[in-house]
Amino acid sequence: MPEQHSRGAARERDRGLRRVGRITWQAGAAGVAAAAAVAMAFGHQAAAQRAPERAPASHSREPGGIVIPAQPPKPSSGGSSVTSGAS
Amino acid sequence: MTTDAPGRDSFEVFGTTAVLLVTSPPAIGLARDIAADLLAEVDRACSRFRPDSELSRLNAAPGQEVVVSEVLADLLSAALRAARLTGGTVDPTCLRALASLGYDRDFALVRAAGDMPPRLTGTVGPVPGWRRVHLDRHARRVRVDGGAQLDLGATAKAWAADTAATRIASQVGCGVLVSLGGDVCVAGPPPDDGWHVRVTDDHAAPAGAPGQTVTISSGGLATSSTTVRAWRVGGRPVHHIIDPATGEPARSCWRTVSVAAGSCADANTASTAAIIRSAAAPDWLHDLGLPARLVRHDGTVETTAGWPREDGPEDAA
Repeated sequence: MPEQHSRGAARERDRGLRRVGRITWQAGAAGVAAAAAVAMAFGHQAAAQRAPERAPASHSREPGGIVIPAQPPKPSSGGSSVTSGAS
Repeated sequence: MTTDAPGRDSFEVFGTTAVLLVTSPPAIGLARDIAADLLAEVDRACSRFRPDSELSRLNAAPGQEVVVSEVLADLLSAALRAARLTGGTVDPTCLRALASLGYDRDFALVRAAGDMPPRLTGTVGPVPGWRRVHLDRHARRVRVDGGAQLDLGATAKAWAADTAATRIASQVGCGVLVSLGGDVCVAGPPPDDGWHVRVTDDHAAPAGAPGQTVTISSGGLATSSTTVRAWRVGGRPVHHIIDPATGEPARSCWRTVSVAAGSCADANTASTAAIIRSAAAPDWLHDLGLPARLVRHDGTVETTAGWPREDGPEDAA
């Protein structure tokens, strides 16, 4: 009798542990999904708000290459503040 | 952005002129302090005319591993980046070639010497090459092999302009333009109509000198020329832009090239390489998407990649 009782208790304990593990995994997965949803919603909103202010980005035609300017120089009809020339 | 006249300051550095402009005029004093501190650091690190500079000590220790400061490690990184991105057209191992032409002292002394006697009967030959420089950037260890001697003049000024502009914009919180002998970098929010920059042969030229005025709002603008840092050796005209393939001053169809890029260092790399690449430069710049203005010896102008066009040969201001 004591042996049967002991086996029954072990089975109950295993079942309980599996249930706790399942609940923990489900809670974790739900948390990840919720966090992703929140990030997407707010990320999209933030990006939409930033978009009009964003300047064109500098980039290079090859990874790690010489970076081209965000915009090429524009013509100026006014006086200059500084001179770019050799020194 | 602002429409007020910018605050302005200028001072002598590296044998040339530094100009600072800030969109918040009261900030000009702080901007100058930040720039002056950085430029003093750069001078201590890489002046080849100071026997106590780190670069002089490195050049005096061939084949030995030397631990260098953060600033010199950054400057060496910038020089090696320029060499890598140009396939070795802009090479820091050109010190012996420059010295053989008599440019082994401050340029004011070279100019004052007039026509210098030739030091060699033949040519120097190709420079040792940038692959002789072994830099561990993380550990700040560098070793220079193969008898190479370094001159960082092609890239140090531009790197300093970029770094000064970035630091000032970050610490002062306004728009800034830094020009070091004509190597220009802007950072922070620009004035409403951008920064107006005159491009011409000589950064110290008077306002009426031939050239073109443009506006930029970000990044860098640099000009390289064979006409300014030029002197004579044995009656032969020479200049400071060395072609690594020959160890001689570059024979270029362009007298002056100005380039706009994402940084002053990249603009300077491209303008120097364009002088050396000569007739091949416009296609190279076009392929890279770099706006540039190239001036032939007769004053006619070619432009690339969206640089604003002008009519006919160089205009006057």
